[in-house]
Amino acid sequence: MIKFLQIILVILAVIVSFQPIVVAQVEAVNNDIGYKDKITIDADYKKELLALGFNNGEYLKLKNEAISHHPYVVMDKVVHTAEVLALRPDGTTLKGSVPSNVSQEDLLVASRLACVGAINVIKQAADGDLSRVRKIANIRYLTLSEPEYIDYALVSNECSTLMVRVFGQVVGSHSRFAIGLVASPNNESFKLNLIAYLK
Amino acid sequence: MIKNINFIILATILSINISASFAQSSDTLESRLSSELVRLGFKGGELPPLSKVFGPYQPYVVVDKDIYLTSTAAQRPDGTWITGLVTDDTNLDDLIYATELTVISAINRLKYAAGGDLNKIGKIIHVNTLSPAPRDYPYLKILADTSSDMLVRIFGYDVGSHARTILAVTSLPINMHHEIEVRAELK
Repeated sequence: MIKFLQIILVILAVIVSFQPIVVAQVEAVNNDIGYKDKITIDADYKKELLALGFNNGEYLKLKNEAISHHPYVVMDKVVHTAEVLALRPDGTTLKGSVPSNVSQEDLLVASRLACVGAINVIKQAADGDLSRVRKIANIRYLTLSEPEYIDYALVSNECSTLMVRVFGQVVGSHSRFAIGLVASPNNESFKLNLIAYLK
Repeated sequence: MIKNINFIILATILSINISASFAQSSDTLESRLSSELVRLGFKGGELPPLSKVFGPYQPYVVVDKDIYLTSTAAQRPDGTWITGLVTDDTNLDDLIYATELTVISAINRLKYAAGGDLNKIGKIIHVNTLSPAPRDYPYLKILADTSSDMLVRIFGYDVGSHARTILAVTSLPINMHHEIEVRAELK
């Protein structure tokens, strides 16, 4: 009889100890799935900018000098960006092909730099309100490389995870496409362009 | 006698109907896809299960009616990937086989994106052919034609014909042998 009671007690203890875990998991999933509000997105974007060394968490103020093309075009709430360079906080970029002129580590940073640059372009297209972004649909990663290099996925992952960190899983997860270039204007190592949908 | 004639007429009408329905069923999208799958060595002419993606991204994204596929690579019927650069020594027939398998991967993702029914695809909009080929490789157009022809064979001209881009790249992620990127639209 005592043994029987003990077994029941153990079962009860197991059930009670598992319940909070289950609840916590559900909450985490809900947070991931929901659309994020403007304040949270801005805060997460600022966090990424600070981690990359941008002063006060603000992206560079760029002048559009080209006449024939724009940094982005919005058509029926679909944003098409031009190629976004991996600008460092001091305005310089990474140049040269991987793996002989540029290291994988530099390229990983360049991927995140180009990513915050792309978010800045989307922000302009959305009139400064990142919560107006409905979906990041497709990102194309372009890397200046030599034929023996195959680790594009690792470089692209840096930006793909950053997008999800800033916009959340529902808005930020996307389809993608990564290729190696033979040559690139100004010998730029890394750039990307993307298609996003506004609300 | 009159009853007999009626019976014969009924029988002929029925047989015509039956043969017509057989003719239709042998020319559906599924049957065309199935015969391509059998030709390429897929058991039972069935699409393989959708392979997992290698990172924090989606195999496809659907916004309203627009479908964006992540670039798909050549996966053999046994699930292994065809890898390696394209060189001047690469057998063209093998490369064409890899291209056809790539199209099958893309169609597999399109099927999931369309909620399991390929008939819901309204248009293949754009196909991007990516080949890790040397600078003066002469057969890029043949590869692109292979995938274009196959899409038109399966989806029909109205839905399957598309705009396209052909790119020779230095190399592809995870050393893939051939990739295509497809954009499509739902009905």
